[in-house]
Amino acid sequence: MSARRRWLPALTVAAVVAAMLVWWRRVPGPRGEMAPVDRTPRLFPELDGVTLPPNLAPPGLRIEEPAEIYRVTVLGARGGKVVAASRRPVIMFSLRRWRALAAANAGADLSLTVEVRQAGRWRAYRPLRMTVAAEPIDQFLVFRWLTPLYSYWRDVGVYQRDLTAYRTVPLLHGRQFNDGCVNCHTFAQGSGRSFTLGYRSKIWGAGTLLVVDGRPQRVAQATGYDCWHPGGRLVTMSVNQVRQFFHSGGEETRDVLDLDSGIVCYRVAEGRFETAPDIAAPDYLETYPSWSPDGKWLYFARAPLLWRGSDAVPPPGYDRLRYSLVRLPYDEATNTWGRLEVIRSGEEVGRSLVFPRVSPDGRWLLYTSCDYGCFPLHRPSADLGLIDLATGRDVPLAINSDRADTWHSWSRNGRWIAFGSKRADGLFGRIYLSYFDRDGRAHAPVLLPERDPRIYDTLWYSYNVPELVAEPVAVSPGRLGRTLRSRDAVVAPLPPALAAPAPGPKDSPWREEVVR
Amino acid sequence: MARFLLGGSSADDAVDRPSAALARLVALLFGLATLYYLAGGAVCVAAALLAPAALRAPQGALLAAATVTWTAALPWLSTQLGFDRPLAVAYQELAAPAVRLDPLGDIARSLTLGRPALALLVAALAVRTATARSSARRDGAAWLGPLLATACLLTPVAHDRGQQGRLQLAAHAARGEWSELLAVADRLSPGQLSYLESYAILLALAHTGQTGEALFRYPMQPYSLLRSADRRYGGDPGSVQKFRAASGPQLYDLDLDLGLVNAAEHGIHETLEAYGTRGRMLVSMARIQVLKGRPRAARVFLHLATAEPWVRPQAAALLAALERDPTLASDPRQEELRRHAVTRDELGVKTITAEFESLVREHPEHRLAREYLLAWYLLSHQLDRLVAMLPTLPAAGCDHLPRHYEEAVLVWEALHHQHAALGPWRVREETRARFRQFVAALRCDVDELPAVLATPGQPPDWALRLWESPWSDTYYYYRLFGISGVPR
Repeated sequence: MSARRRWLPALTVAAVVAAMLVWWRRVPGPRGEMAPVDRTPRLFPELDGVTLPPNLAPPGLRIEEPAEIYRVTVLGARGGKVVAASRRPVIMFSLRRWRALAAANAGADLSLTVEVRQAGRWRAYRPLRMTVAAEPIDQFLVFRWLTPLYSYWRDVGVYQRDLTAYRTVPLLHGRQFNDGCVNCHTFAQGSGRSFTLGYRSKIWGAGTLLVVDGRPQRVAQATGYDCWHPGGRLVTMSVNQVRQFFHSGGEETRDVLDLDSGIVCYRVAEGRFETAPDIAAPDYLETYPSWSPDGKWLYFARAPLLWRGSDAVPPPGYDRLRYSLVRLPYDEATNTWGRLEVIRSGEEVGRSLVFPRVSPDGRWLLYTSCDYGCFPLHRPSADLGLIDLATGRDVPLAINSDRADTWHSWSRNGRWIAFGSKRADGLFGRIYLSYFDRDGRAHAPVLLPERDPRIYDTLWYSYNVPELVAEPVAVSPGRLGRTLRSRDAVVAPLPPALAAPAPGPKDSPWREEVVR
Repeated sequence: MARFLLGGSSADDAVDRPSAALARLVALLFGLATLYYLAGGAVCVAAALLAPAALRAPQGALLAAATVTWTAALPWLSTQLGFDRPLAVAYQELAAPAVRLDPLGDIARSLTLGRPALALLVAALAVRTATARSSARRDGAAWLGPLLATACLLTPVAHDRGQQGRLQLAAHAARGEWSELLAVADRLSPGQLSYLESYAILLALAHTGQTGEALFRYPMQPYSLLRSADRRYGGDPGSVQKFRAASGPQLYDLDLDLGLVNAAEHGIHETLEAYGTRGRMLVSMARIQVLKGRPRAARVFLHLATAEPWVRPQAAALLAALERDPTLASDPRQEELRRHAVTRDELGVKTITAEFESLVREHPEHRLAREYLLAWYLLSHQLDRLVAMLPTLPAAGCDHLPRHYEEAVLVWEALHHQHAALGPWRVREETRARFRQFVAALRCDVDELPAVLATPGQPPDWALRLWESPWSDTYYYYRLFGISGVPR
């Protein structure tokens, strides 16, 4: 008998055993009478009433109901169906089938039915309803991923997620430059070819990676929150003396403030900074610059400096500091600024109003408000707010929670908002996507989907600074890292009106004050 | 023995029975574990010598792999089972540490661990040279026998006898077995204990309410208070980080026990960030999240903890309890933590004194906090504050103060030339008599005494005659010399 013939019976037996195993492990479908359950099932993530982008990857589900077998059917109002079943309470949908269903039902409703077999009897929960929006969301989401408290920058990275799938790739990680910190990232009109990326490092100092048309360069000047002028020739940046401190009591342990801050404009072609009196006033703290889509207004947050001359951390009155939303007209042709306008006074509304972002159509101003200060992520009271710039009125937003909701970003078509929230557990920041309709209503948000939702069960990292981007980032992590570590850097001094940020204790802005 | 452990290489042995190989493997693993227990990290170096020799024996690849794997895993296993220290710290202690906590201590430790390894290396070279000269067969068993024999002889000589006690002490501290910990500490001499053991002893004394009676029986220094320890490094992040990781659950459980919930959360976050997830810390973190009304965040930490086999039962039980009641109201430990949790946000509080005073102000009934405050007053020589607090101490069935407080009162009276107002308390005559004996032994005038005691830890040369004297378990001895502890 040849060697091949000797293996044949063994292979046949193996194939039969494998087929029997598959048959034995198959998930049986419903049989007999289906008993109705007069409530919707408990699901993670919550999907009842949410609006989904038509191009979003399907959210994996954990069904928080005890059962032996789980079966989920998603039916489209315009036809189409996706069925998934499992012996475990975790449902993962086929990406291909989901895409087809969502595409066929763009602008229509989906009905999701959960059927379970409990003690040998099948039950069907009341179906829940989802809506698929007609407008897609930007394909990519860039976010920062880090532990909830990051004093040592051991694992801080900026990542890019393809929202139409589950693929997440790093853009730059702190380990590429000796446990550094990667922070705010800002894209020029959603472009993956022009953007800025802030970094802090004990070896390479603090600065900004400026990528223009796919070519990275290092600007050896620490800046905070950046925003590209729509013209692409100007990047507006805040310069912040950031300090972190810790509360001895209360729900939130961490807190962050700016001892001082101001705004500068970086001329990309000339490689120099400039500023103006109203964006770098000595008696005010200015931060979170944001351009209107037409580039004629610079929006930012501003608060009076309450602690001049005090080096204490936190300084006296830090919890009375309330930022206002202001804007300043700008003429790019003549490089001149107009008169400052206060849009909302923080003092008047009794809240600190920060992080203004104007919608791409220029009509809506989305911002975050909190009880005090400039870092809403650490304030449980933080909520998103909306102003109709056409009428000047506040528009109620129904997507806030009793935990911190902040770090919002518009999609390029203005129909989607990505924002960070601690609503799930109060500690870890997660990203939610909310549909924003033409009437200024934000719809129930959906958690950033994962194929296996159990990822969230053990994910002790926080997402923050979600930025929606229309195209993938065109520069590799290796090239960004090499640029950061290179000796070639644009050395551009800050304007005299703004002092360079003072280093924190032990040259680390995030170190708390240590008192012996 | 070596022939048994690694097998012979004769033709008869080549057909080795599986049972013999298994017995050999078990004996090898057991032997290495024993050697690790006796000699610590040196066994890892020994393994590097054993493994090549083992390769030449029957089933050599298996034995070599087992030798290397087992010795590499031993520090991890022992730290997991006994001390719950981060893995990085466990291995860092075997190598020259990148971050120096205590240069002298590190050198001493390296020498202690290195001596048996050095002995093995020297023995190996000697034996190899000898066997080469005698043209004996240079296989594993031939030269390994004398090598192991030499190692067995040298290991007890090189063995640090205090090490076993210190390991026992750390294990008791990690398990919260305070009485057993003090029993072990009583057997060790002050010179055998580092500051890490001092923290554990103070912790045991505070938990058993004995700081006032027995604090200075053990080696104490101004930084012997756990919470003061991270300030010892002046804010150097690397050192503080390593210290926190090394003290591990002791420190964070202490913070939690004291009610310093935010401080515990802050510290655990940083340690998790620096060293990755740790079972017991994750459970402590889960309890903190429950205290803060964040049961879902607690679940995340508990789910992570269930991945670690040693903590899995505890984490799974807490997860189940959390499903039933998100506040864990029926959990005694959680209730105790909730009862003592600090609620005031006192941002101005930046010193240890203010921190503990704030604790006691908010929870005057909290014995552990009070014990720590009084211990801190003693260790940092803040006698004015101590004397002012003594009248408010709750009576514990006797009319006299604990001995160390009495001794502190006597020093205070000597410094201020007046009697302290102690309210219902009095200083026992026997304590006064012992203090008088101490002053007499110093052979200084009563007028000179304030000057001698005024500067803690800086004794005049002529006072050194009282070094390691019978008064070494008193506060005034600690004040004079800056260190305490009964020689054993």
